[in-house]
Amino acid sequence: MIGVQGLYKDYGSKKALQGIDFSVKEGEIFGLLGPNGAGKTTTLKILTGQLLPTAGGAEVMGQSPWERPDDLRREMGILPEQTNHYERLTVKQNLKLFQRLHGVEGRAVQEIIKEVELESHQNMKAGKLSRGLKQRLLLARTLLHKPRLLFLDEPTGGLDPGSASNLHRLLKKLNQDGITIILTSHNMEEVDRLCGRVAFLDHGQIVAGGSPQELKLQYGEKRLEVMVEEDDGEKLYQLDLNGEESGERVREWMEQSRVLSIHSIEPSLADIFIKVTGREKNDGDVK
Amino acid sequence: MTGMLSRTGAIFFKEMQDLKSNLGVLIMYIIPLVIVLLYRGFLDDMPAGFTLGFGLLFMFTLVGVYGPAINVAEEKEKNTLEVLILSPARPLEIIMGKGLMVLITTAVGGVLVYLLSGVGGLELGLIIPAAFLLLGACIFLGMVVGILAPNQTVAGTIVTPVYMVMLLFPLISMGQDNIIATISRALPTRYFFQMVLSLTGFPEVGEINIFTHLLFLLGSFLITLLLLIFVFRTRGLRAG
Repeated sequence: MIGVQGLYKDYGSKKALQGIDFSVKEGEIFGLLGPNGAGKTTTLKILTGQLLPTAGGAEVMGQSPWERPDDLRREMGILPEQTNHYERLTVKQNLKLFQRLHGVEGRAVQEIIKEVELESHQNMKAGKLSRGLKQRLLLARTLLHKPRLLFLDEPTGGLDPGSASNLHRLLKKLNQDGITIILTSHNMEEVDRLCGRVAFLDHGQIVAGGSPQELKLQYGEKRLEVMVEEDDGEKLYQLDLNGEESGERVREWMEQSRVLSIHSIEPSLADIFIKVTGREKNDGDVK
Repeated sequence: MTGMLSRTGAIFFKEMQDLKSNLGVLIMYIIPLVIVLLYRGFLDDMPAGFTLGFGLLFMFTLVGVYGPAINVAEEKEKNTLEVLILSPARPLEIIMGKGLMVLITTAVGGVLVYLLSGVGGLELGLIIPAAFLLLGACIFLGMVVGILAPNQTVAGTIVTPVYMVMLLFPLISMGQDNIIATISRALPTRYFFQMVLSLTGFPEVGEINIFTHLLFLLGSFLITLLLLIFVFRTRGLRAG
């Protein structure tokens, strides 16, 4: 569905993208991860025809995204990072405007209001909505013309955990309905929960990529954490996952019924990101 | 063509809905009407023609210039213009939908000014085209400011002296021969104001050539239209 080859983008002397390559298959949820300024939004803007690259190529649904962007945009939905509604118009009026602009017939507005669960707020002015409801309205507007491909720029930025979780549920449902989703985020937990494949962007370069599980296996420490009951209380042991000695020790503890808990140490995507980029956790808002 | 009309209509309809809840802009429509009522109520010796001319100038310059300038700048400031540009609406359709809303609502405002001014038996066949040309020029000028300004504050800062000059210079330079009068000769508002005064029999305005005045208004309309086209084509809607 999307192919990106050697994409470069410079803003004057600043190199926003330095030759990135990736592809997205139809029906996937693909995550572009990275701290602020890594090049995520620039990538999205190039793929949606809002920006021209300095060099390199890209194909979206078999077409160049910047040659006839209007044609492509009929098939794609773009959810921007900032909520930008007409705040003096109601939820319904906001959606009606885009229904008319897209030339969508029938009860599309009512259907989408129902889908994103905004029925009880449809006559409320957009400016009066909470941050979570505004984000749902954004999603409704993005989905109104039934796009095949969704670009979501930081879709849960600034949302409380409850609203973020609701949005995740909606996105998963949309994906099950066949919509391909590309999202950018600096929230690694969100991406871990949602995406089938991810690419880590740092300083305009893809530094790692794959499914979250593959990355965890690749970059994990392959260690085992065992909580054992000792005479002087509980004690936590970290063992090499594949070591012969580890097996012996665990078997011994188990036979003595002293094991309180046992699990492998699995790195989070944030841990992996820090490992591959050498960044600190609070460097550039990696969560 | 149908799609273009439909999208322009969608923008126009959105602007109308937005206007209903936009108190700041609604007040701009009300101020000239209040001024006309005050003139009639408290200035008994003020000729109705002067009241009409001043009311129309006030309506056209305040709403006609200010309205589109603030409207376009607000869309940029609140990032809503970006959504419109990413939608199937073309920049020209966005501009036309917005301009049409200002044109129609200000024209309605002009009719109300006329009805409240107490002028009877005016030659509408001459005033209507003159009003259309002046209003068009005001809207084009407002659009240019809106396109160039990055936000409402800058748009307001630019447009305030513009509309003050357009509104006040023709009035305060009446019967004068000074620098303000010289500047006024370049303003379409002067020619419109003189036309209204002349057609309503206002004595101080003297003999004027209505058709020369109409020609000047047409010239102003075309110059501001060309300016808008130039700014639109060179800077795009997202300039500023």
